[in-house]
Amino acid sequence: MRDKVQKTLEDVDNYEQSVNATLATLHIYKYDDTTKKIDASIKSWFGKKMNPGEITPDLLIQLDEQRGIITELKRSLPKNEGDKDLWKEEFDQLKKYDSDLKGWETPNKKITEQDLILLTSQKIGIHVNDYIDEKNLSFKDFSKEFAVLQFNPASGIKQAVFLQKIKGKVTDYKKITNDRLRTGITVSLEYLLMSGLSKIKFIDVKPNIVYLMSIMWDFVFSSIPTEEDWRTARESKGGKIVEISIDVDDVRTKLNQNFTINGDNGVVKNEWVKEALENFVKIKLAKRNVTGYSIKYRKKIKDEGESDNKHKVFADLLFKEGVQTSLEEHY
Amino acid sequence: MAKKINTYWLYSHHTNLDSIFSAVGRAELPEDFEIKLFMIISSKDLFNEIKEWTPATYEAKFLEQNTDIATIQLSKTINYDGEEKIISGHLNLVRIGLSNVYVAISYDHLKFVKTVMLKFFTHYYSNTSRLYISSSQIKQILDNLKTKAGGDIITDRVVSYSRINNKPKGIENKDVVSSFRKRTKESDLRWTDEDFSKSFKRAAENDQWIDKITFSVRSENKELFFGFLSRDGVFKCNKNLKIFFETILDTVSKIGSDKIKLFKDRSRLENNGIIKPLVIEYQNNIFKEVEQNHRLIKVIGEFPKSSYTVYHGNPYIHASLVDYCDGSSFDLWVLSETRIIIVPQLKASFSSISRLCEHIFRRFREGEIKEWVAE
Repeated sequence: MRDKVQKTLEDVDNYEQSVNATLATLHIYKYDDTTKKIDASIKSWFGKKMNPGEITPDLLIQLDEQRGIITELKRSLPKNEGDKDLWKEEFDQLKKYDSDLKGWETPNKKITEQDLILLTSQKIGIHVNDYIDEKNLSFKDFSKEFAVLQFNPASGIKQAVFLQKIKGKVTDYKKITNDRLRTGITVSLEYLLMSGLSKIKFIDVKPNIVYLMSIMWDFVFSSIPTEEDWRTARESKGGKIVEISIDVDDVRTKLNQNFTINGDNGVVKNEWVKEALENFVKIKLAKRNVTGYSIKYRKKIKDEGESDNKHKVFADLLFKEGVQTSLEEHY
Repeated sequence: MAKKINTYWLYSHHTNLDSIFSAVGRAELPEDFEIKLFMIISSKDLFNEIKEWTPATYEAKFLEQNTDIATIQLSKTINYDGEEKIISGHLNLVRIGLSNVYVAISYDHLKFVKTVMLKFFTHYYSNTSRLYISSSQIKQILDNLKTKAGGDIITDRVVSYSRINNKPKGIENKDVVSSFRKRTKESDLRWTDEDFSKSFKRAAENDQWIDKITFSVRSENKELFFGFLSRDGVFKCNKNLKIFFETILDTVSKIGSDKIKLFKDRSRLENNGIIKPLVIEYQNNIFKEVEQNHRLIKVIGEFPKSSYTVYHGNPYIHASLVDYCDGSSFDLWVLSETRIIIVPQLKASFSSISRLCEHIFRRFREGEIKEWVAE
């Protein structure tokens, strides 16, 4: 159980690093070094549906009506052992983005100049490079340029994300040049607050369920009771529990509206929310009812260690109850 | 035995603060008489708030009210050994200028003030908060008082605290057992007869913060009055209310107005989803040592009536917490060596932000609360 709890905490941290890296990639294009402001004319989406194939790249950046960047995030990949090539599917998916896609916000829904970026963690960067070389993969059928960027948290006086190009090229855009990306660009996390950190908690990748449960508990459930409900709970003698009635659609909408880029309702999926709510039922913090679920909202989540970090509390309870989220082998 | 006086007439027929000052100035007050002042800030009109709703077990009767002053009779029914008892007293509730800074003035006995009056205002959580002041602001008030009174300020009694590093040697933070978690600050009560500046100097040298100070203001070997200041917005004096209060007002009304501006309307729901972060800024690079990250996370975990989540703890901090008093929630970030960033989330009430900042000041370190600007 301890290993599973530890793995959950690592997954949660990895998800946060992926959010940070995605925002950092977006930030380097959106932040105008000259005006020191975010360029609001640059459009961006997480998991926007593009055609043909209704494919959903992780990050789309539309610089203007002609130019755009498609970014796919691969923080980790399954371990390839023996003859099995578990990466093929991932790179086949990436190849689908190397085409004249429809769905951009331009008059004909298309762009003419596209860069394709594979964003990966430093931990697997070199393996990704080797794989592309070994398989002789090319992603320049429609894309003008293809590049692999690796990211890593960078610490110093200010905490940051370090982005570095380890393969290919990008089309230079203002101060985002191949030379700068090759030596690496450090994006301070404080700057990311301007472009969405704290507001954006989900990218188009399913997080560990404990991460989702904590965000629902801390930010969504807490916002549902009225002032009067809270006052009644505060003033009543045994009033430490607030009963909150919710339904899946409403929670999904609140998560998407408040914690994704552009309030896009397609990032957080109904099935993620349902899974999280079922986990709350299993750890006895929620009950199913006719309209959806009823949450027993309270401070004391479990008997011991109530002052523990909630990720750990939820993970402890879930694994004690024998509820497991998928924990595949990853690099 | 101290002479008891009927204080009722001190509360009545006031149109402004000056009329209160002159009523107190004219009165023949016994030596041990205490004028208690309690500073409150509110995001709403507190007079209306009290009229619209009164907590169970309390009764608040508005005996008189002008635009900015009300005379209130406040009673609380308490259960004492199975018997219901009513504790009752009076107060003047005064709005300072056009701000939402209020002062509750009472001449009644301490039991009324402590068990009824101070607790009464805590029921107005979400929109109302004590006006907490920092140690350095207490010193600032005393500096001003010294100038205004043209005399000396001598510390009589001082309560200061220092933070305890209660992690036993050889035990990692995560393994600290709950019994070690309980005591986090060490108190130091000192009776002295020294210039107030010495008291503050000694506290600074010992990495302590001054929580309460009782002092006398003396001029030409004559005692002008006794005073008391505390970080949690309770002030007292025995006479000379005008000079005492006007000096406090200079500093405190500015602190109050700044806090109202900083704590009001921060939630994302009130701002079309936009985040409006605040920072607690420190003059030194306190987060240079990673040990401070552990300390801050521990302090966050000890915020009363809340629970917390840590997303990342080292080298940077990202945590969130939810306040079970009213559902306010926050992200907390430490991304550089000198500041804590507080991001109010969907719901973030005035009282909750105030309580959180005070908790961090008291349990971690006092800093300066400011609007967030990217650095």
